[in-house]
Amino acid sequence: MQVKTLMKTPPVTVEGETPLAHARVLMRREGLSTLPVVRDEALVGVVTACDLRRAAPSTVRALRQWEWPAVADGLRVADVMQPALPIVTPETTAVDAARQMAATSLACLPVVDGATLLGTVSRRDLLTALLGEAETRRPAGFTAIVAITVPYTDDDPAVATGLALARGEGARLILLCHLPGSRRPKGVPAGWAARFARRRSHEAEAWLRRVTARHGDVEIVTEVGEGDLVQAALGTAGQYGADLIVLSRLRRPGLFGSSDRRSVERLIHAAPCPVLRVPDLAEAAHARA
Amino acid sequence: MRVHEVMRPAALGGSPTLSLAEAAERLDDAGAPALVVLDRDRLVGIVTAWDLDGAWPSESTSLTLGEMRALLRTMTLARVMTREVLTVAPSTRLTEAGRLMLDHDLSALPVLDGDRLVGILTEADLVRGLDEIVRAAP
Repeated sequence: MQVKTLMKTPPVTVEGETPLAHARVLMRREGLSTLPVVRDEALVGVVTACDLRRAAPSTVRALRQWEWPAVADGLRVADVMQPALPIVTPETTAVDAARQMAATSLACLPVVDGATLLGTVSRRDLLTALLGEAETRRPAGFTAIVAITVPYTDDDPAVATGLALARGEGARLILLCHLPGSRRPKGVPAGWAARFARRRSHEAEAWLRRVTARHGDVEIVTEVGEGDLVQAALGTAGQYGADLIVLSRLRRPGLFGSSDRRSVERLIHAAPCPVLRVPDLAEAAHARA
Repeated sequence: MRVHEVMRPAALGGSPTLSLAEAAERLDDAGAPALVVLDRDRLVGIVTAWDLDGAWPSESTSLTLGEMRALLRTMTLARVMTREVLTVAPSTRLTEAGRLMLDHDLSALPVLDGDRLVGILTEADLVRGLDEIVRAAP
């Protein structure tokens, strides 16, 4: 994008001979804090609200009170203006102009063709253009990481890895505690099974709160997912816009559970982001024993 | 890129009892766009050059110069500061902070780590950071 598409024209200008008081009123009325100074349409400088303020009585201590009005009446824009730098042309790109603007405190940059002032381009418009550019670049880091864990496994490598990554990246960590679906054994009344499921999910929540309390330096959100692991993980990842899913063990070590390898493969295929499976050394040791 | 990578670690600060004249001088000397108002290290407000301009005596004032001067010396920041301050965390994404600044027309965002002021993100810092992002990934 080029400056000419953002430029405001015709510009609001003052001349070197303009009294300071007029310039100040003009700035307030137009909501501008930088005005180009021209002579016969040629740019000769800029004057800012700061330049005007510097020439106000409160900062001229050496003057005697009765001397001030006479001095103030005599001051013209030319006495306080600064050279107009940097200047841009209509063909300058917005990003380049924004770079040049960053070095100054000017609220707008004069746009010129040779010496002739064509218009002004505001700080705000340049900033909007630059921000738009930056936002289209894919962020290199992570903002939301989902770590899948099972309750009561305080040494879960997925949690440790998730915490370390979230800390390093300044990302939010979503701890998804997964409770595998349980089939109701024959002969157990439905009410009991429901009560059991409720209690299990309360316990999982309490455990997650304890984990969260231990790591105050990371922004942690907790979720309890039941039933199918893949569905629960995909739901949570979608909800929080996860850009990484971390998992390690999917059941407590030493317990028999459903084969989790297939679940992991399904998750990798369906996930909207990369899936990191951290090797579980504790489980490997258990298997060897 | 995160806010802490480009922010200025030291924010220009003043107490709520600072006079407008003093505040304007500090702002202009530092060339800073905003002054953070702190009450015992706690962030209570922010004052921008634009706020100070608005509080400046008008051209058609009937005040005498002495009265004007006295006012500027006695009127304090507490009278003109913005009390509801938008802030960001050091870990906030720069693009998010930029959106916030543009949407709310801010010239600076104080950076808070919990309750503690750790710096300030000015527009110039923002431009520098965004420029780096754009350069890094053409």
